[in-house]
Amino acid sequence: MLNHKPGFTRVDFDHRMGFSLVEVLIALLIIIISVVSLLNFLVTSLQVNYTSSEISEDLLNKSGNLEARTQAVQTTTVKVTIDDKELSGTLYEIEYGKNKRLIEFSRSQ
Amino acid sequence: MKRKSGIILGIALIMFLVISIIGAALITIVMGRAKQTNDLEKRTQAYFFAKSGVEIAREYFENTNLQNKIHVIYGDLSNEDENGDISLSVSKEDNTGDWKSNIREKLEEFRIQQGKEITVAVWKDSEKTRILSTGCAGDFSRVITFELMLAGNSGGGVPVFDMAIFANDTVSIGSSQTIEGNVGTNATDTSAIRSQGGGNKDLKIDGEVFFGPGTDLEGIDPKEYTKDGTVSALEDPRDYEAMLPKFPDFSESSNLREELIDRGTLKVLESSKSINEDGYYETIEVKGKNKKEAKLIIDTGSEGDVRKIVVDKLEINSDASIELSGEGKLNLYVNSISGSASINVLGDKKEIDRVVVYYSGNSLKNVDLDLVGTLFIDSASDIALGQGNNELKVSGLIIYGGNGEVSMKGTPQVSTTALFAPKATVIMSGTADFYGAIVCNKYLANGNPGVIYRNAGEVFSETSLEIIAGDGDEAYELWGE
Repeated sequence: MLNHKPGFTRVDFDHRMGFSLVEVLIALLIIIISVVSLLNFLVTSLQVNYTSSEISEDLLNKSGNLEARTQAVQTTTVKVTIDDKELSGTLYEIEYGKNKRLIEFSRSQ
Repeated sequence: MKRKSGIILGIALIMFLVISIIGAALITIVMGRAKQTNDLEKRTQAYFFAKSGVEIAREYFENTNLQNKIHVIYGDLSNEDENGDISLSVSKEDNTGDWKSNIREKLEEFRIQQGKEITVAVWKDSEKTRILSTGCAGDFSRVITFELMLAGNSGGGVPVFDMAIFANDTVSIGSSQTIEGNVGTNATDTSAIRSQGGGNKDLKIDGEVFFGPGTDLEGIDPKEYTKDGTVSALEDPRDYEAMLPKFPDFSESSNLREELIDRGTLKVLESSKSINEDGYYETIEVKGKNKKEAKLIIDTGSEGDVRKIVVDKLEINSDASIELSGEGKLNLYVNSISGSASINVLGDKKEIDRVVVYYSGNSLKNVDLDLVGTLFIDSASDIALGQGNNELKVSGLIIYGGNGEVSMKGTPQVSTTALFAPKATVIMSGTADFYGAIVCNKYLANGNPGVIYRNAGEVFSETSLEIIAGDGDEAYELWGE
């Protein structure tokens, strides 16, 4: 026991109070892992959301182009065989997104 | 103070839980968004597949007799072979039972069974052609319905030029006449289609025979009329007279004449001249001499343009011609023709609406006209088709609004002629052969002429027959989903 100096109130240190270093470290670890994971999700989500928006917007534009037969549309003359009948027409293709394509057939006018 | 052992771990775990829930919600939202985009892609492609199906079916039925069947075409559009060609299959279903009453469900069953990108049903429903097309991309499908009534083949649902001869009244066939194609009449008397002598034995029609709606066909022997076809009654009468287009007014007081600049007289004698603008001419004279040709070239302008030339007197001789340049069309309004006119004889025999000659004169007695195009005669008399003197040699469409006679002693053209003269009497004699289709009030033949049916709707381009039936007013396409 320590002797108290006059004028000071002695507060005893109770080492059973508060948290141990191990507890704090584990808690910190859990919180850091959670926050990092959440941030990771957040970044991925933003990326997915951005990509989806881009694809949707591009798809709408390109489908409009395909309907309007703009210059962006690639055309190929094709023969369509239905049993013994041969029909001719044009296959219209347009790319959207990174490497996706929309196709449409139109008969010869 | 009592120690709260492990409370910080509890709080950390709760925080972990909360963060996990937020993360899961975030993932759900984002995945939903990605799925939406993916669905949009598939729906869009499925729509284009369905639309392609309609196009394929339209092209298919134009080359096929659908009869009373539902033709189901199916296959993959994105599976091209090494030549870049596409192969589809067709299944012909009876237009009865479930296929008739619930075609949508049956087609859906068929689609699921086949699992193809395109599944399309096409069938005839009275005079309409109906198409139900399903496009499938991934697990998405879109359905498009399409209904079509062709202008060239209809006027309020009445087909035109689907028979070798159709007369409102009688069809009197020559004793040794050949008819290759169907013959029809609005008459309900079974003797309305008969041989020249009056009976109906051994008419040797190489096709089917149709009488007016409600004709009593009891006791009729089809063999007396046809070689191996059938005799039946039409479902509805055909009022072709009502489908006669209105003859345009280009008289002196007409709006058309007022619009046009008066360009006086144009003479093209043993030379070549061009017309590049619309105009009214009192006389156009194109004449060559001693085999030295004279040529009048009419520039029709760009695609979509219609050059309008009104001329009171068109005088051409056999060493002269009128030819076209440009990508547009020509409407030539003529009050009188004399001589031997060759108009657009080098033109495309499919594009018969490229030149429309409107003739308002009273007679065509002394006219030799060689035309590739459409000739619309208001009410002139003395119309003779053939290749001889004073005869009309027309490859294309002839519309005659009068109730006179159209005679044929020689073969007008080996290429197709469609004659639309619903008020007239068509008279064929000698060894005249007619290749095409005739619509008239009465048909009379002597001797052994021939009528060989050719489908004008197939031979000529799509727009060529639109002049009949109010220029396509009655035609429609109806798209739906």
